[in-house]
Amino acid sequence: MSVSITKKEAYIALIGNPNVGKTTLFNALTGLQQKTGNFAGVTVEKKFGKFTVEDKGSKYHCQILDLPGTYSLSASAPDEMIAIDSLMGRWQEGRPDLILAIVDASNLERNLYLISQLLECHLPLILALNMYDLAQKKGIEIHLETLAQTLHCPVVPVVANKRKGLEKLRNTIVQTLQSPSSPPYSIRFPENIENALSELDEYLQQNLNCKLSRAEIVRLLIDPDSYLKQRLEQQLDEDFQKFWENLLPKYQIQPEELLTLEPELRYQWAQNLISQCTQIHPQTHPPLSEKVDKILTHPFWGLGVFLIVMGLVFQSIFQWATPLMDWLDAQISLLSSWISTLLPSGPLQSLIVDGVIAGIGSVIVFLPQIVILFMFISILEDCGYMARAAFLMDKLMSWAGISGHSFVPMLSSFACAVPGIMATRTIENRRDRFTTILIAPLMSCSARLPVYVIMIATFIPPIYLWNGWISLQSLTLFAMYLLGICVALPVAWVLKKTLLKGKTPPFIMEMPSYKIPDYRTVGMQMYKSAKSFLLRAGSIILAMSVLIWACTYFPRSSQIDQLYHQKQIQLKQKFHTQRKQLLKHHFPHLSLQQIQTNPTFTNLYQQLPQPLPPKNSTTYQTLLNQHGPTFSLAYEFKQLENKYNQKIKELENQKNAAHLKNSFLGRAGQFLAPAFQPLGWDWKITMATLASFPAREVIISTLGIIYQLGADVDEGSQNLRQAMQNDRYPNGKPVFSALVALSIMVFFALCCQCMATLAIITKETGSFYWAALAFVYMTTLAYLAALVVYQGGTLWGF
Amino acid sequence: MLHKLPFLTPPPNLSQSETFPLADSLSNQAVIVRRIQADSTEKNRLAKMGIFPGARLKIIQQTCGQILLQVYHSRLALGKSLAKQILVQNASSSYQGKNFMRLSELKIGQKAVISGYQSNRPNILQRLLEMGLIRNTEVEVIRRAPLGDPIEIALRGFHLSLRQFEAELIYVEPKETKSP
Repeated sequence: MSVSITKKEAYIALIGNPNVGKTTLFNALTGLQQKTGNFAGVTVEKKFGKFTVEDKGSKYHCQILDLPGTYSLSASAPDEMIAIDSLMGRWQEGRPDLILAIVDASNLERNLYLISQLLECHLPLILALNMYDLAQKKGIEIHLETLAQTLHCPVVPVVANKRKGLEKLRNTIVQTLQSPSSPPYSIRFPENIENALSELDEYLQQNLNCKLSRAEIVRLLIDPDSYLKQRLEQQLDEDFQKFWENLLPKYQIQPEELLTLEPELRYQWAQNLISQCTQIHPQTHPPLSEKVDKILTHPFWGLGVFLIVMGLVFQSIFQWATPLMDWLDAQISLLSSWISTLLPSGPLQSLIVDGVIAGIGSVIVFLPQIVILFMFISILEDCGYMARAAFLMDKLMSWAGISGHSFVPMLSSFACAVPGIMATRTIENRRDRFTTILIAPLMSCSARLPVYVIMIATFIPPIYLWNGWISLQSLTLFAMYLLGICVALPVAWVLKKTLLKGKTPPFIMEMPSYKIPDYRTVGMQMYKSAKSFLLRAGSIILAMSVLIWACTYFPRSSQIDQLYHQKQIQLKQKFHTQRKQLLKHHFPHLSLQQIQTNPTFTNLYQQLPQPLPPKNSTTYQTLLNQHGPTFSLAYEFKQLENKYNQKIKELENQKNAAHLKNSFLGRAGQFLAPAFQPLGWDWKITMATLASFPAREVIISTLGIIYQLGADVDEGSQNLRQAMQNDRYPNGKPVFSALVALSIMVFFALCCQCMATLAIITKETGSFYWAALAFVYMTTLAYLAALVVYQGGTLWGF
Repeated sequence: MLHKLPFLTPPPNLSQSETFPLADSLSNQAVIVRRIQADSTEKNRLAKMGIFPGARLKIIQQTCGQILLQVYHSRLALGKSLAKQILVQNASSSYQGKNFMRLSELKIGQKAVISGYQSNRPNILQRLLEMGLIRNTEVEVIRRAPLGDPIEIALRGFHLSLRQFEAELIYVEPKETKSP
């Protein structure tokens, strides 16, 4: 006999206050079966998970939506509407089959506020009492059955971080899905308000052709600047406005009274419920949290600990990530050199090596920083320190019009804006988050450092000021770091007044109790951040690298190739004749072929030490005495070959420089050069700047190519420094000066030459618009600042 | 019946004590705004400057055409004609000797009971109320951040941090602290 299993789909909404372990429960229920999207229009991450529950013959495939943590359903802004819209089925997923509400059992009263609102949603509800162990430790005894009976909904105690109570929760979910029933409302308003609510309800039913839930009607009536009302005003005609204006006076309701009444009634209900269902056994010793907080938010020690923690976070992404990044870099170069040997040189090889693999390299090189930063962030968040950090730094950040939550993202941006911008996910307020995203790239990241280093070391004189205490060079470097911060403040202020205008949101933040972070939550967070970066930002970065590669590679002029091919042939012929002359000089009777097949000679030739010992060295003398003229010949042949190889490499570099100059990018550089002339730049600097669009540090390798030194130069390269110092305009004026170097540095401090940053902005804001805005405003600022520096400096006579 | 309580703090004897136009007040007098008899745009403009029913003002100086006021931390001058439309009450009489103050003015470690609100920022007020900062709730100031702002308070068994500016919206009645 077979038992038939009916499979059904179910859609569950998970909701709760912030810091009650909602994400931990979500992870515990769904494991890795998660996917993320965006709530349309509000750029808030929409997290879905899947799991199955089974009970005697029925199996449910549950899709669970992890709603952002909230204290209430009230909404006066679009992003606050997410919770109520999801519960009312205003998204494509439709209405949830049940609400899974998670509450902190050790802090029931405030958590019940939200529950009281959820009871008005006409949906089956399950109450998960999380941190049940903590509540017991605190001496709070909860009579589960009384609570369930009074609320008319199932109550399940769980300990999400220890994965306790999940089986019971799953069973309860099945039972509720099988026989759904929505619990009754918790509170009734005074008669006049109830009448107003039902009149509003009736009016909307007649004019809107759909029934709103009580939860929505209550929000509509009570919330100041209710977003629901703004939405309804678009759907309804002027009659609604008239109706609305008469509604409150008709029932003699004062708006202020209404505003305070709701919380007072709900808290009264919560207090009543708690007095019925719980018993508190007073504890003698104060909670650990308070002892810890005495130190961690102490004006002196607290700041000390804070500086150490933040120093650790910064150090880890600035320094400790470097070995991993270098290792990844080395693997990528290995891969590209291996591929180079497999493919014939030409457009295909260049596309794969310089376009695709270099692109993949520039994506994965960010991974160590991202994963390490998210490890710290999730540890700090999970243990409750993040709220303290925001508390300590709020005043400082408020000068830029943002809140303390922005501190860690901003700090991280000094190492790299990409993980910094990803870290803004911890900022709840949308306007604060976007402001932070837009100013984070202004912080001087580690990619700017090579540019600063080469410019400062080459062109800023090593002068010491104040009796040698401060060097002008380090002062310049410090000024560059300061520049970004100083520009960020007014930019944030302007953004807050214009594009991200709105009422200052309240900075009301719960200070959660400290707890040991859950390693599974931390691991999941690291995994998810890496995955979302690779999948979403990675593809944009890769596509852009290929595009930039094409701009530097095409059009491939065959004339240049031919020209240098001929030069190569000439060089080869010259090399050949020179060798013949040498041979004639030492062994007039032998041909080249004979000497090259002579085993004594070839042996000697191959075993010559590299680099060649100078002629006056003892090695040279001993070898000469040992082998006589054969050695002389081998030595001089080698000398010639080295010179030849050098020349060939120079030719190759010249060819690359010519190709680059001829490429779309090179042409653009020359075309745009007049626009950058007021900054003191010539076409070479302009072009190198354009080429550094993928990442700022690329300017150095591009300058290397332009100065015919090859692409493998770095900021320490003496050759490049000399080439830059010696470069002259046709009229003999040096191309570079301290002022030009300063103008370049200022430009790079403020510009947004980093496609990874632009990709991550696009991804995190959910729209290309913000990335374009960041690029345009930063480039404009950079141009203007460099202009002021150069023109001002010239006027002052530098 | 909770909902019948009057909304604003200084409270119960609103009708009994006398209101008078702000224009008639004296230098150095402390008053509480009771009613504003102006149109709504004018009311909004005043509210933005901190003048709304329930706000405390101090008259610094009366001149012939203008009246110089201290509104919480800022000073501003008001035309006499506008000052005639603002009805105020003597602050000392409306407080009836009780020690009312704002939540932001409490010292660290001081306990107080919430007694009322300033209603010119309903959005922020709603968030505060939802977090449980309703009337008759006992709060304790735990600490201030090193730069003076925000402050951390304890209520209903949990801790909350809020900015000075938000704490200013809440009127409290300090509890008598027993000397140790």
